[in-house]
Order: sequence, then structure tokens, then C-alpha cells
Amino acid sequence: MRNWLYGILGLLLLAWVVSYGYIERTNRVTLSNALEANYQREFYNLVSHVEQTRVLLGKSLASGSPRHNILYLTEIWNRASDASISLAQLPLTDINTSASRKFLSQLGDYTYSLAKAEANGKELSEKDYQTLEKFYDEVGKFSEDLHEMASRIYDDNFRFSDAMLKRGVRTATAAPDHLSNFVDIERRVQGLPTLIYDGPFSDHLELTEPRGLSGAQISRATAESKAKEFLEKSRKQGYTSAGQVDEINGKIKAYAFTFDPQNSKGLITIDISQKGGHPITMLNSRPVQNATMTQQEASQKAKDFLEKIGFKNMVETYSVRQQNTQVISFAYREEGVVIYSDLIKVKVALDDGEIVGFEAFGYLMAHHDRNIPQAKLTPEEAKAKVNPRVQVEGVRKAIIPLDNGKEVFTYEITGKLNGEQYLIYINALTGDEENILQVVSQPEGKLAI
Amino acid sequence: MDKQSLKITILGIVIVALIITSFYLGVENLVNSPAAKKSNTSVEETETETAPVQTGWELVKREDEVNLLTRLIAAEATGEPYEGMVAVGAVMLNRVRHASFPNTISGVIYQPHAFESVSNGLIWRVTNLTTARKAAMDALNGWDPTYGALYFWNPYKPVSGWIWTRRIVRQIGNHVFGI
Repeated sequence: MRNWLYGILGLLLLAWVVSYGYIERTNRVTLSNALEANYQREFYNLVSHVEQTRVLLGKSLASGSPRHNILYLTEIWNRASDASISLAQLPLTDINTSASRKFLSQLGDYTYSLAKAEANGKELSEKDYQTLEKFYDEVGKFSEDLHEMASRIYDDNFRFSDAMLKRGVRTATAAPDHLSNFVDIERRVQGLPTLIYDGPFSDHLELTEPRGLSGAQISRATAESKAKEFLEKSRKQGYTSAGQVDEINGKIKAYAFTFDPQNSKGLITIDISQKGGHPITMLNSRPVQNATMTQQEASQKAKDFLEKIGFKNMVETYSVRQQNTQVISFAYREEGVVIYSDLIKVKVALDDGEIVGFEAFGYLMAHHDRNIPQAKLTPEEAKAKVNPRVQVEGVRKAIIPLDNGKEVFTYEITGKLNGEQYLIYINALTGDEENILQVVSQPEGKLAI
Repeated sequence: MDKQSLKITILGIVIVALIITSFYLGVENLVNSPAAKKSNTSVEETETETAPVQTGWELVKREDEVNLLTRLIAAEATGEPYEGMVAVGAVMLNRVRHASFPNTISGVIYQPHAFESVSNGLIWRVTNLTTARKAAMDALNGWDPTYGALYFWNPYKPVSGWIWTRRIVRQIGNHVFGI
């Protein structure tokens, strides 16, 4: 009798386990097919975007009308960017495609910069045509490789989700498989010469050197005393060195010091540049209690602090409330011109007014002696360049950084349209409209988009 | 078959069944997830949201993207020094601006195999977001302890050899940051 019972119990359990496993397996297959469909779609999107990019490049080379060509060039920008997005979504675990993606982004960025130049009435130079030809060739090979892979993937019912589970890096001698053309593409575009042009992805921008690092190389000990000096000025209460010093091998070489604030949790970290001993960033992660001061009081604290550490000509540009702290941005001002490239941020704790954050990387990268030219336009002339539908409220001179790394001398004109506030930048020498930002008011502060 | 061996067989089946079902029923919820243990005492976020601002000339990240960034930082860098959490946030933003990576926060975070916490689902389970949010805000306000790094990895764990060809900027806690 007992045996019987055990037998039935065992069989029931077995049946349960088997059916459970079956259901789980069915679910897994459903999910894996859905995922595979996604990957296949992205792959075929990639093939088609690259093919379209190739054709559009060809048309652009054949086009004799600049106005028409602008359309082709901006369309290439869109297609190349879509291709890069699709490529980023493929589950290639053992193949690195970052150079291929950079190639596509840079191609789009480059053609966009040409479109902008043409829109400003500039004709494409012989050099521009040569670069476009070169891109046309490269995209042609890229496309060829993709078509090859597409036909193999189609013939063998290859599934990306299977490739997904591979580990490690593919070696150079690995046997070719369905995806090995991606390796070929990557290798080819890695060997392309650097491309320097007028856009944010131009290769020369990755090589920019800091311009604001004055002074000689300093020792680690000198850097530490600089860090302490900085702390004395930012902090009311004591601190002890946490003993940790790191070396930073970034665009600005630096020493990083860590301190323990007395009477509170958290740590203070300060980076001091190895050249000149400039403070680059400071972060104090102590918890900040309820706010006891206003935004204006915090701004004053930040301004006083900047003067104490030697930044005299700074003007507040915006201010954001971040929990119980206020983050205030300052730009350098010279001869009445606000220089937005030279930016410093100061974070003030609203409980006791202590400076709990400092960030001058942008300033140290950009600051230099500028020969600000005489404006060719009067403020009145600049205002007249603004769209008449915008109701102008104010005007001041400003130097703004463009995304191609250059700076441009402008009139910053604030105005209203349909109840929204705008910042419009008119070139002070040529009268061209350089940029428009929309100001979005939020409870915590104003943002310029 | 005698009584004894039958009992043992049944006992064996029961144990195997228990092991298999417990596996199905989400062992993955118990491993890899320090936050999962806390999930019963889910933290209610009380702090008011602030407007995240870039340096004025760059993209402004809206609230939904701040939330994503917060989760990624919490999932990848909980237990790291505060500066290390800001650093992970900064790497995300550096990627958004770089030609080799997608140009949105969501594109960067959900890129296949880019982050372990997305592959193992931790990003959807983290609950303690308070410090991570603070770090996300600092990163969005322009603090970058990595000086433009695009990669971070744990040097004490096995990682792909390729990653070591990157130029290392610095180490913070258990993460190495490289360009």
C-alpha cells in the first residue's frame, strides 16, 4: 500500500516537473524569437541605411546645383546616423565595432558641415569633393561587406541570438563565419586617415590641449599643500587627510587628494593640476541638512569664494537648485564681454553656506588671452537682425563656443516669442545669426536649451 | 525492487524536482543582487526633482533620462565611493557625446552587452536610489572625475583583453576608467 502511494507521488512530481519545463521552454523560445526578430530587423536596417548612404553620396557628387545638393547632404547625415544607431544595437559580443560606428557618425557630421557651408553660400572646394569621393568608395566597400553577410545569414538561417552567447575577443586568426565581415570593416576604417573639418566629430577636437594651465610643474607635496589651502577657504570646519593620493592621466594631468571632513560623513576629493597647481574639481559628498539660506545668499557665498581663490572677473550665468544645494555657474567677463567658454561651477550647501563643489575643467581647457576685436555692428543694428516677431528685451556682448571648437564674438539678445524666452546670438562682426537657445523655466532654475 | 530502494528513488526524484523548480522560480532573483534583499523595504524617494543642466550649450537631459541614469549608476556602482558613482554617470554622458556611441542616454545604457547590470537585470531591481540620484545630478551638472573617459571596468574581475588596450585615466574604488 505504502509503495503504491510513493509511486503515485513520484509520478505526479515527475509529471509536474516535465510540464513545468515544457512551459518554460515554450516561453523561452517565444522570447528568443522576439529578440531575434529585433536583431534581424536592426541588421537589415543597417544594410539598407548604408546602401542609401552610398547612393546619396553618389547623387551628391553628381549634383550640379548647390541648393539641391544641400538636400542630399543633410539626407546623408540622417541615413548615416540611422546606420550607426542600428549597428550599435546588434549583439556582437566578440567583435568591436566602435571605429565603424565612429566612421558613420563622422561621415554624417562631415556632410552636415558641408550642407551648412553651402547654406551660407560657400561652394564646395576641390578638397571637399575629394573627401566625398573617398567616403563614397569606403561606404561602397562597407555596403558590399554587409550584402555579403546578409546573403550568408539568409542562406544558413543564422541567428544573432546564438552569436550573443559568445565570450571573449575574436582573434585575428579566427575562422571566418557569418559575422566576420564586421571585423574586416572595422580594420579597414581604423586605417583611414584622420579627418579634420568644421564639425563636432572632427578628429582635431579629440586632441585639444588645455589652454588655461599657466605655471610650472609642481611636486606632489606642493600639490597637497595647494589642496589644503583650497580647503581652508571653502570649509569652515576641520578635516583630516584620508591619506589617499591618485594620479590622473587625463587631458589635464593631476593629483587627486582625499580628505575626511570632521564632524560629518562623506569624503572630500580635490584634484590639483600637475602643471601650475590649479584646483580642477572638488566634491564634498557630506549629507546636506535642510536649507536655511536663499538662492541669492548662496550666489553671494559662491562669488565671494571665487574671489578668495583668485577668480575676480566672473559673472553668474545660471543657478540650479539640487536638493539642499545650489549649483551656480559663472563665466569669465573681459571688457564687458561675457565669455561662455570659460565656465566655472560652484556648489553651495544651503544649510551652512559651505562650498561643497567646484568645477573648473572647462575654464582650464578654454581660458586664454583673447584679443577681443571691435564690434562692427552697434547693439541697435544687431537687434534689427533678429526676427521681427521676437520682442527684444535686452542685449549684451558675449563670446560663445561653437560645437566645432571655435569661438565666435556675438551680441546675446534676450527676447520673447509666444510667451517663451529665447537667447539669440548675432555675430558682432558679420551680423549672421549664430545660435538660438530656448530658455525653459523650471521651479529650480532656468535652463537654456 | 525492495522497499528501501523505492524510498530512495522517490526521495531522489523529490530532491531533483525541488532543485529544478527552485531554479525556475527565480534563483536569479537571489544571486547577483544586493538590492534584491532590500526589495521589501522599498525606498520611497522624497527629495524634490531638480532641473538637470549641462553647461548651457549642450543637450539638456530631461527628468526621464535622469531617472535612467540614476538606475544605471545605482546598479553599476552601489558600494563604490561617491566620486566613483559620479564617474560612472559621467562616462554615460561622455558616450552620448562621442561619435562611436549612440547619441541618447537610453541608447547608451541599453546598447547590447554594454553593461553587466542590464544583462543580468539588476538595473530593473535596484531600489536604493538616493545617493545614485545625487551622483547623477552632479554628473549632469558637469562634474567629471574621469576627464572624458568612455569605459570603466573592474580590474579584479576577468574582462576582455581588448579593454586593457584603452588608455587608463585613473582608478576610483573598484573601477578603472579609460578612454
